[in-house]
Amino acid sequence: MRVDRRRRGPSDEHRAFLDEVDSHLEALRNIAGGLVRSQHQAEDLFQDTCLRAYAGFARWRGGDVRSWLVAIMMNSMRMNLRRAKSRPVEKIDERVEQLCDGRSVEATVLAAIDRDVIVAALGELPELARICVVLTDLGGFTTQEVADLLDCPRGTVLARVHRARRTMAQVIDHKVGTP
Amino acid sequence: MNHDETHLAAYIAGDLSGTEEDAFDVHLLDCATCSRAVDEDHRGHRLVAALRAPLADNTRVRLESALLAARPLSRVEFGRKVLLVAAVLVIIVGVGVGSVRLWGHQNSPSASTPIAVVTDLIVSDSGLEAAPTVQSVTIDGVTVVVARSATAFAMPTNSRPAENGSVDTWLVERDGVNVVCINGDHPLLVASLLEPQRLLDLIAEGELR
Repeated sequence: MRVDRRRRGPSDEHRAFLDEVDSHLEALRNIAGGLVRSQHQAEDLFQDTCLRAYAGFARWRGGDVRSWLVAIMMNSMRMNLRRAKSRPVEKIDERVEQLCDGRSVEATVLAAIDRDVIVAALGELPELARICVVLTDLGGFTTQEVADLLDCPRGTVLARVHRARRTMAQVIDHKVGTP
Repeated sequence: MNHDETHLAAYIAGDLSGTEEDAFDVHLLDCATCSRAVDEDHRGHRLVAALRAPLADNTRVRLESALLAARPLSRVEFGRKVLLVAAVLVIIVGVGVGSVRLWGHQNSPSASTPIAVVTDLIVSDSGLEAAPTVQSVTIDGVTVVVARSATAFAMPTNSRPAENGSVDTWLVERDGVNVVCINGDHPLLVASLLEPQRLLDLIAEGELR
């Protein structure tokens, strides 16, 4: 939706921004929750993203607002990571080898799994895999939309999402099965 | 039957043709490996999707308060920021042209390119809270444009980490211009036709700080 922002005061700008992004805030908050390890960090990332988007709203020329917000969020996340200078990258293949024990998780157990356990397992995925699976399964993006956003082939996104989901299932199996 | 990951992912995504999908359905009945992979994919999807939650009321309230407290970068302010960068660039270009006239240097025809790259990166960076300072120096007879900011620069698209062990240092190439982005305590953006390693050496030696 194109918006005429000429001759608009600060409160109008505030309202126009909220009108534009409101329907995407829930998905954006969910994506933030999947990209970082704690609820506190997710809340900060969500708010930081919205404030950066607001700051740049005057320059936004319309288009896919959801992709625009997510692009800002990923940039914010990477900048925060660089500032923190932390978090070693784990090798997904080693983890898969360790955890391929074939146990399954019953639906009742799935329902009882602590949210923090799932978030922690997501945090152990390599960054690209985590972003792909969070954007598709939490954010509701199609694999083509994720490919466009990350500027990579759709096949790469499909493979990353598949690997990430399998690793998630294996990690949770391991954590639930090993109190 | 194909057991590879690409085929599996295509099956799960619904990308296979009707015939291929039917064949894979039959294959799954006898193949424990693929059957487990599909099962894990579905369970993994449900696990991640289980994190979906409605936006909490207090999250919305906090956001609205933060937005009201924040001041959006208006068109006027944005225009001032662009003008500031442009003014600095005019000075730089003037210095560059003067250098050519005085010393007849051969590298100058492409000297505006690093400036254009830096300008583009700065103007498209929505995270900067104030206009960076921009300088141009000549090293080894080549123009090096240096931008400094109080806040971190956005990592340029498609940049790669430098191989110097620093998580803050990123490299990218734009239209033949090499760019080094450093976001440590003193954020720095350097663009030049010099090789990336030469730029990193100059930064390490304190020549561009």
